[in-house]
Amino acid sequence: MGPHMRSSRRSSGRPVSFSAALLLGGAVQVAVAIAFAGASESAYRGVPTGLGLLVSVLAGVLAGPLAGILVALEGGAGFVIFVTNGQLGGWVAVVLWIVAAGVAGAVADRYRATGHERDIAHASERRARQAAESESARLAHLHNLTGRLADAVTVRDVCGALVDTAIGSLGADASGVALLSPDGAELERVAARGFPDDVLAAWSRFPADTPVMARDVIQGRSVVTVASAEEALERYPLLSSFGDGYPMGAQAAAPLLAGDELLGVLGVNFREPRRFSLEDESLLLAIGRQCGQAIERARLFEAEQRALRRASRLQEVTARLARAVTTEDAARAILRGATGAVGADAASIALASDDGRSLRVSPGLLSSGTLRLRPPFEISMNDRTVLAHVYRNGRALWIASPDEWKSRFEEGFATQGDLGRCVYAVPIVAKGEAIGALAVYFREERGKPSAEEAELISSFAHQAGVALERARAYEVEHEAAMTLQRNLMPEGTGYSATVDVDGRYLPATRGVHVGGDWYDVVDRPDGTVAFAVGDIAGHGLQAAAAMGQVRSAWRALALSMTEPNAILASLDRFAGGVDGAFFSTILTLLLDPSRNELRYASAGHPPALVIEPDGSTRFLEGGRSVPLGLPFDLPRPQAQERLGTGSILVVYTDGLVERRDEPLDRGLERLAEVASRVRAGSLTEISDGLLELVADDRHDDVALLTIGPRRPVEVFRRTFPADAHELATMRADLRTWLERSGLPTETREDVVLACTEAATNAIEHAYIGRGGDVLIAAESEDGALQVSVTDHGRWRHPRPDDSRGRGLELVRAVIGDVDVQRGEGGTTVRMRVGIP
Amino acid sequence: MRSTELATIEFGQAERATVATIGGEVDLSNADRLLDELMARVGTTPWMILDLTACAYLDSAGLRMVARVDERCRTVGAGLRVVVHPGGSIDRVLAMTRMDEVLTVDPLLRDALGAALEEVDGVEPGVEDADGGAIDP
Repeated sequence: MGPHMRSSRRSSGRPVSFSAALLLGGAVQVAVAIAFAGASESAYRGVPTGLGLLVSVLAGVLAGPLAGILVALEGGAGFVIFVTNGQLGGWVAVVLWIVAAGVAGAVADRYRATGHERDIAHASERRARQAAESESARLAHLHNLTGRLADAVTVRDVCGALVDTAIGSLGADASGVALLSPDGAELERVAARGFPDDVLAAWSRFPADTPVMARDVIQGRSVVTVASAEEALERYPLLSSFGDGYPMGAQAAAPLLAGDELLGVLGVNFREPRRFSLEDESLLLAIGRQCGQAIERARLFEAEQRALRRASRLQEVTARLARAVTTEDAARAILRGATGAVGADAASIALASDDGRSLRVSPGLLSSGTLRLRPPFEISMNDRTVLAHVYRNGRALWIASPDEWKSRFEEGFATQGDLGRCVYAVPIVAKGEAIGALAVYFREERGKPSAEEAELISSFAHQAGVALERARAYEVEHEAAMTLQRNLMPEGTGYSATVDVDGRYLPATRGVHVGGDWYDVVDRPDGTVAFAVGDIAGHGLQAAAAMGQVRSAWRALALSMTEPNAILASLDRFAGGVDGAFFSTILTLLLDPSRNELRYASAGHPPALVIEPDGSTRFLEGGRSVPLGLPFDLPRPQAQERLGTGSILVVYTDGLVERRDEPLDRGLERLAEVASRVRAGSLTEISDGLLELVADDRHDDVALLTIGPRRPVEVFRRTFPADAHELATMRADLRTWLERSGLPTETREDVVLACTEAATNAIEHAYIGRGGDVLIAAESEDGALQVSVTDHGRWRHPRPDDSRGRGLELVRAVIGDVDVQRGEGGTTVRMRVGIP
Repeated sequence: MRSTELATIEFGQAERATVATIGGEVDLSNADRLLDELMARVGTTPWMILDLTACAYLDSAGLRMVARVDERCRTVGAGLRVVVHPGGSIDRVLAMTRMDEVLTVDPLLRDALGAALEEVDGVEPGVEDADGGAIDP
C-alpha cells in the first residue's frame, strides 16, 4: 500500500459541551464575584453585619460550588477580597469557602468525571448511530447494485450499473469507469454518465500513467479524493484543459478490484465542493470491489462465449479440412477460417516447396461473405515479403500500417499490398518444421491482434499444417493407389471368349477411397464363364494391395471350382490371412452360356441385376451370406437362376447405388429404373448409362461389370464344333460383326468366304468328322483386320483327284495375305485384310 | 439354321432343259445333299441350267458341287449352263477359281434358256466348249 492520502481529517478529543461549560462557569463566577464585592461594601455601610455575614456566607456557599467548577485555576481570586477585609464574616466565609470549595471541588471533580464519562458515552452512541445509518445506506446502495449486477451479462452492463450506482448513492453529477488493458498500460473508458461529449471523445482510451486521479488510484489501490476545484486543479493541472462542461468540483476515484487484481478505476465528479466522509470512501471501495468481481465474472462469460465461438469456428474449419483432400481444398478451408475468425478481409497461405526454397502463395479475398481465391503464385523463400519472412524466422509478425509494410517488405507490398492495410502473419508448422506461413489482412488500420486472436490464428496455422501435410500425403497415396488400381484392374471389354463383358472401374475423386473395388472374368475350360465383383472394406494402398490378392485367389479358385459357394468358402479362409481383406464383400457367379444357367453366391455383396430382353428387371436376391473373414463358420449358400436368352447381367459395388442421404433400397430402385431404360444399347452403352448414376464428385470407388450374350464388337471370337452345320451361324455372326469393321461389302464377303473355307478345311481335313473345335477370331488392329481360323486336328492332304482342298486356293485368292501354320497341335490360318 | 433351311432348291422342267434354282447359302453342310438332288436330275433333259442368282453364298463346297454336276453332265452327254449375277460374289468366286473358264456362265436365266433351246436345233449339247466353238475340228 502506498501513502494514504487524506485531504480532510475530522477534529476529535474533548466534547464541545465541556469547553462551553468552562466558559459559562468562568463568566458566572466573575459576575458573582463582582456582585458579591459590590453587595458586601454596601452591606458594611447600611446593612446589619449579620445580614452581611449571611449574604457573604450564602454567596460563598452558593458561589463555592459554582466556583468549584472552575477547579483551582480561576477559583480563588474573588475570595481574596473577603479575607483582606479582615472581618469575621470574611474569615467565616473563607473557612466556609474552603470547606465548600473542598466539597465543591470534590463534587466538581466527581461531576467532571461523570460528565466526561457521559460525554464519551454520548459521543460513541452518536457515532454508533451514525455508523448504523451510513451502514444501512451503504447496504441499500450495495443491495441495489447487487440487483443490477445480477442482470448484467457483459462487462459493459456491469460498468453501466456501477456508474448509475455511484451517481445515485453519492448524489454525484457525473461518473465514469475505465478498465485497464491486459498489459496494464492503458485505460479504456467502458461506461460514463454526466460528462460532456468532447471530454468523452478525448478520453475514450488513455495511458495508465496519465497524471490524473486514476493514476493515483492505480498506484495506491485506494480511494483518492479532492474536495474542490482548486484542490483538483492544484493536484491535477491536466484537468484545466477540460472544458466548462466538466463537473470540476469535488472528485473521488476508487479502484475496481477483483481479489487482489486491479481491473480499473471508478470516478465520481461533483459540480460543487464537498468533503468525502469515511463512509463515502468505504462505499466507493465496496461498490468498486463488487463490480470488480462482476466484471471478472462477465469477462469469464464473454471469454467463454468467445471460446465457444472459437471452438465452433475451429470445428467448422476442422470439418472442412477433414473433407479437404487436395492441398487446394485445405488452403481454401484455412483461408475461410482464418478470415472469419478474426474479422480479417483477406488471407494468404504460403506453402513451401519440397526443397523448402520457394513458397507457393494462395491468396483469398473475402467479398460479401464469400471467399474468392486468387491464382496461386510462387515466391522465393528469400523474397522480401511478410510470408517469406515469417516462414524463415518462424515467429509471428504484426505489420500495423502500409508504410511499415512497404518499408520493410517492399516486394511483398507490391504484390499483396492491395489485400489490406495491416497484416498479421504466423508460421505454419508441421512435425516441428516450418512448412509455410499464414497471413491475415485487415482493410482498416487497427490495433495489434489480441492474445486471443493471435492464439486463434496460430491454431488455424497449426491445423493448416496438419491438414496440408495430410492432404499432401493423400495426394501422394491417392496417386499411388490409383496407379496400383489401374495396373491391377485393366479396363476394357472382351475378357471372355464366350460372353460379352463390359467392365468399368471409377476411382473415388475425394478422399483415399481408392483401390478397394474389383471385378474379374474367367473363361473356364468347360465353356462356362466365372465372374465376380468385390469390395475390399478398407481404402488406400493397403486396400489396393489386398484387392490384388483376393482377386488373384478368386481367379485361381474360379478356374478349378465350379460351385460359387465353394469358391466363397475357400476365399473366406484365404481372406483371414490377408491384411485388409477382412469384411470384404464379393459376389461370385458362374454362367453356362449354352444353357443360360447361372449359379451365384454373395458374401455380403449387393445383389446382381438381371435385365430381361423384354426390359423387365429383377435383382438376384438368393445365395446370401456374410462378408469374408468373419470368425464364424456360417454356411455359404448359393442360388441358381435360368436366364432368358439375351438377358443382361449387371453386377456392381455399392458405390454405384449408395448415397449417404438415402436408404440403399432407393439406390437399387434407381439402378433398376435406369437399367430398363438403357437396356436396348450395347453393353458399352448400358454401362455408360448406369454410370450416370454416379456423381462426378464421389467419396467411394465404383466397379461395374455388365455381362451379355456374345455380340460382336471390336473383337470377334467364336469357337464352334467342327461340324459343317455350324458354318452358317458362324458366317452370320461374322457378317454382323464385320458390318462395323469399316470394310467394303465385297471385302467383308471375301472375309466371310475365307473364314468359311478355312473352317471347312478344318472340318474336312483336320478332324475328318471326328469332332473338335474350330476357333475363329477377328479383330481390328493397326488399320487392318486380322482373322485367324484355328483347329486342333491333324491335317490330311486331300487326294489329288479330289476337288476338295480347293478351299485354301480360294482363301489365297480372296485374301492377299494368308499364313498357314500346320503343326502336331493343329492348324492356324491367319489372314490379314487392310481396312481402307 | 440347319442345312435344310440354309439353301433351297427348286426344279423347273422345260422340254429340253431342266432348271435348278438354288437359293440361300451353299456350304459344306448342304452341298452334298444339294448335289444328290441335282444328280438325280442330270440326264433327264439335254440341258441342265443351274440358276444361282438367288444364292447368297457359295464357297468351295458349293463349287465342288457344281463341278460334280458339270462332270456328270459331260459324262451323260448333257449340257450345263450356270446363271450368276455378273460381278456378284459367286461370279467372283468362279472367276477366282478359274471355274468360269470351265463352266458356261450366263448373266440371266433367259440367256441360258435361250442358248439352250437354240443349241438344241443346231449343236448337240456337250460338244460346245467354253469358247463357244466346236470341240471337234
